Amino acid sequence: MRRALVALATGAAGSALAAAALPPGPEGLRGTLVVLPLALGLLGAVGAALGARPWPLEERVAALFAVLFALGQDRLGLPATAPLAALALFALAFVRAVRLLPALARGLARRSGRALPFGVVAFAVYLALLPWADAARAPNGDEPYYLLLTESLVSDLDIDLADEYASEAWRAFSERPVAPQAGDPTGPAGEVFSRHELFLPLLLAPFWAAGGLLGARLAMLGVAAALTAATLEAALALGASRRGSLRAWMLVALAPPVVTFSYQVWVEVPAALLVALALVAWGRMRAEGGRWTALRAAAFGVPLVLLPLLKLRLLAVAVPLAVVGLAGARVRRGLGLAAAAAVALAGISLLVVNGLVWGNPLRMHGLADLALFDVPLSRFAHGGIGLFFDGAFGLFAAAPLWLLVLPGAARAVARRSPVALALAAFAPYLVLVASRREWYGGWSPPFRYGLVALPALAAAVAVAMARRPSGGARVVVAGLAGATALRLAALAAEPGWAFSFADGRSALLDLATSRYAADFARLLPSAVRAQPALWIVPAVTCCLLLVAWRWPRRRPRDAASAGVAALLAAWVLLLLAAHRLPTGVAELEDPWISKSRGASWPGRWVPDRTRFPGGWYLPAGAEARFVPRAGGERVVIDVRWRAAEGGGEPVRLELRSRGELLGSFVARSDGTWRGDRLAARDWPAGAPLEIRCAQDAARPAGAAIVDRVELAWR
Amino acid sequence: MSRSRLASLAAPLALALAGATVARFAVDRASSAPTLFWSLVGAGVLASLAASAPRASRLAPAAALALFGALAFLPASSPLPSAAVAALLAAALGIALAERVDARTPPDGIAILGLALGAQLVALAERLLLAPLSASTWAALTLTPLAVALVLAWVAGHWPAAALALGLSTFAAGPGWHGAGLVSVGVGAAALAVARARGWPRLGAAAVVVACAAPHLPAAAPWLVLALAASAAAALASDRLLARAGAATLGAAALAALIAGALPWRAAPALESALASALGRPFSEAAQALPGRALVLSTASPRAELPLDPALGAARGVAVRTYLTNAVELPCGTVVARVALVSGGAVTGELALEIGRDTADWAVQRPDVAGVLACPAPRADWSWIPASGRFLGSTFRARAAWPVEVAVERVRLERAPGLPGEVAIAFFDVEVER
Repeated sequence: MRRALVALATGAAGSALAAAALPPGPEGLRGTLVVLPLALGLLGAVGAALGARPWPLEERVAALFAVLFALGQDRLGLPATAPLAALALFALAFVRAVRLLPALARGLARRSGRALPFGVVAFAVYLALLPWADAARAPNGDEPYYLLLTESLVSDLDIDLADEYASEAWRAFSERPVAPQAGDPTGPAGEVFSRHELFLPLLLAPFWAAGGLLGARLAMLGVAAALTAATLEAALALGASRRGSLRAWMLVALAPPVVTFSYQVWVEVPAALLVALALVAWGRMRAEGGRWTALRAAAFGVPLVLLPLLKLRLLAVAVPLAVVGLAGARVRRGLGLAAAAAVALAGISLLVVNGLVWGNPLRMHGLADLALFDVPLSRFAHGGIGLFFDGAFGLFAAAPLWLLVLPGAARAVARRSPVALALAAFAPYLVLVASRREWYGGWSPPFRYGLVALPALAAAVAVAMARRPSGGARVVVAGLAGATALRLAALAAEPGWAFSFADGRSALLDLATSRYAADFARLLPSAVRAQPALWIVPAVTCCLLLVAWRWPRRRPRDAASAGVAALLAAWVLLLLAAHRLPTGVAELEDPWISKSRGASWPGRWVPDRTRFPGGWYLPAGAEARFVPRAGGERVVIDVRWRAAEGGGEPVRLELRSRGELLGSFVARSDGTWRGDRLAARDWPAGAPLEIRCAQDAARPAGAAIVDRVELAWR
Repeated sequence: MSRSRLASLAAPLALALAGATVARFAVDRASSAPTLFWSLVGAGVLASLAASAPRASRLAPAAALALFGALAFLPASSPLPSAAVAALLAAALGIALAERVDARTPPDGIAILGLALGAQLVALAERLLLAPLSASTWAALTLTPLAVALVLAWVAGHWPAAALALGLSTFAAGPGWHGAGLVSVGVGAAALAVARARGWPRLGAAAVVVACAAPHLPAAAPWLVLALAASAAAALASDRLLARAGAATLGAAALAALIAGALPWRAAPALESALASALGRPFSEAAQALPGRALVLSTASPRAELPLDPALGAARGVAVRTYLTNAVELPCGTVVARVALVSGGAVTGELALEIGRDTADWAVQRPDVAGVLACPAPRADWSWIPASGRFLGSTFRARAAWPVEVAVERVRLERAPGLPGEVAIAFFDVEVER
């Protein structure tokens, strides 16, 4: 214990010294240098308490180099070194955390307090990322409103935000003005309320009072760290092995999406924590003979009651979990009645309060939102697959190692593990959110709507990793771990890349697309854009994964090397496929198509994208150009487009190749989409297609919106 | 070679394949040649480490992944990918050294051979570009490290610390092992054999090593000499520190590769400037006037004005990275361009770029150009691989500083009047420092 205290004190002293000695510097990097000693001190304290090896010399040397690099990076004469310096500093904490795993694993043998070190380790890693990530991006989405509500609770003990908007209280955390959202409730005396639930601001209020935005961020780090520790306990309580649970914890704690959510002010992380706590109570009840005691029932019920207070839609998680918890368990009649009464009372109270305060028991929602039978089946499929597989905001794109959920779930079902039951409890919620015609997490890191299910998904990973995998599974794990590490490194260097856009695009994917002029988008699933990849990729991935999990059984000679080789080979295949497969559809807004001017249509931040055929706004005189990959000698070209609103004159769209006019079409700005076709013609390989909105000097300038070009090769 | 070691070659081979694919499809064609080159060099180094690893090691796969990330996603057409790859390779060698060199159980010959081949390839990589088919190149890359490894393996069997110190110090002089280094290693080993036969104490062995290594150190970069001297002293003082000292040494080399450019691709600055950089005030305030783009001044567009971040306000210095085209015949001292700091319409500071001192033709390292240069070029700040031809392109850095701050709102770049019409000057970085 003495060593632990010394490590902690040294870290704290180092941070204090850095804060006092470092001059003002680049936002984020200086903050990282200040908090890093404290983060390493926390990790050192955990290591000392668990009897781990002292901080090895090679890591100290690496730390020295990383700090020197961060201090002098702007004098190296190299471009864009600040993100690399931030990555190097974060890597120090990350590597230290990973190297503590053997000691943490030994600590799992204890019965009480075993999860605490895991929470501290996760907190330290998140702390090392906080300043850089926070500086990279101001609060956005729901975050400003939760923070304003918190500020209002602290400053004048009410939830009326009119005075906060008037006094521009948002300046405490944002340079961009924060205004009421359309449809926010108002009061008779000019009050302006927020549509957001009050529970999270109430939790954050003491921290905001103590430290403002930093206090709130640190509180969220604490919640995220607690989530990882509770998830570990949940996996163990649900019968997963220590080995599997440890690996599931690693995935939850040290990979997206929790890493990217850790400092964010969203309800999803506290909600996942409540779910994890409920699963712990349920699992322990089952392990103790399947009988609810009052204490255990309270540990199970209270989190479930609190869930809808965070967000009303989480009722769809709380109720099925409550049903799963009560089904098959022995409950004393009095206790059961009391629990049922408490849950009913909480639910009714919530609806009544909502009705009184907001004039609607469901707040901003209506019964129509629950009319799932009206929703086409395809939308469930789009949303459900997208939630996990979407290239921009799906769980598996955020951290491919989460694909281990698939073999884990299969194994849990085959073995009738309680983990399968826990996963099943989330089915109603996932169906509900899958039906929502929106964009699953714009303004937030990926997998926002599914985050609440993360503890159960982690338990499935624990089942998959229960034993040392053999054969293909080890290669798969190594490859997926490599992909996850690359993704995490990219996000640690450029935290802004974690946020998906409302237009369903991903910054990282766009970077790769423009760097290699490759149409990657057609090969990756997107819930926003209906295309064959949405169905093919998940099916192929599931099949490959399940096959590789079983074959070959023989242990590979060097699984890590084979896994990385498979990952790099997959990249090569992806790049080759993007360049070699014949172009069937060219979506004009994609970065691989060069445009002289214009903008994506609708604008990047317009939500609910499935309502729109995404396209490119092509002003008069502007040109879009691409070289289709020929799939034959002749081609029929269809272009889907319309004239933009605002111009009274007809708009002419010209299709050319190497300057030669292939055809032109004229449309009036009546808002209707047109499909125009060029008859079959010879198409030499490598010839470009140029789409131009013709500019006529005699007429006012118009503009065209081009959705897509379809090429049918003969 | 065992099947296990063959299997561990999968990741390096995949790196070569992925690098070649990235180079083939990169939109920025100027980045293709360096990407391909570095991926092949990286694959070669990692293959030598992987094939000689004593057991399945995760180093080569992890390094392959990191190299791929650096080559595929760092800003192309800048020194950053090359510097990052050099640093990653040096770090991989350092970690491999720390993994394999154990004071109690001396490394086997295969492990030392892998390290020697990998290190030699990093140090002499540019030879593959400039003279790929030359027998001397292949001998330097294969036979020399093989001979060094054989000798060092024998030395390591008796004095692991001496082997490390002898190997590293002769390597540092090149960098890489050349004829003189090879001779020193041989002489050192022979002297150590005598020392062993006669039962000399540890101090005697240390003296032999120092005597053999010392002649090479003046030729090495100053920062590397310091790191090597410290690590060799630590290694000779106590066997328990051997592995750690080795890792620290090569780790230092990795950092230096990034900061100063240990490899021929970037010129190593003098010791005093490296120290000043490390000990100076952190977080220098600077504004980049050409973020992410290049600007060419020619007769058609001889002048450009670049706005600066208004937050900067004042400056103490300006640094530019440039090269010239068609400037082979310009005599020394010719002013080719002026970089002026402007505030309120008045020039508050100026840097006149002179050929031979501040900049030069981009192709000065091409043999046919080097032979007809009217003015010798200054040391290149960054050497790069052109899209065509087997030579290194050169970019030069110049800097001017003032004792007091001067007001600045924007930077004016002006091609000097009177230059031959075909001469153009390309600016890649214009950085104003406060």
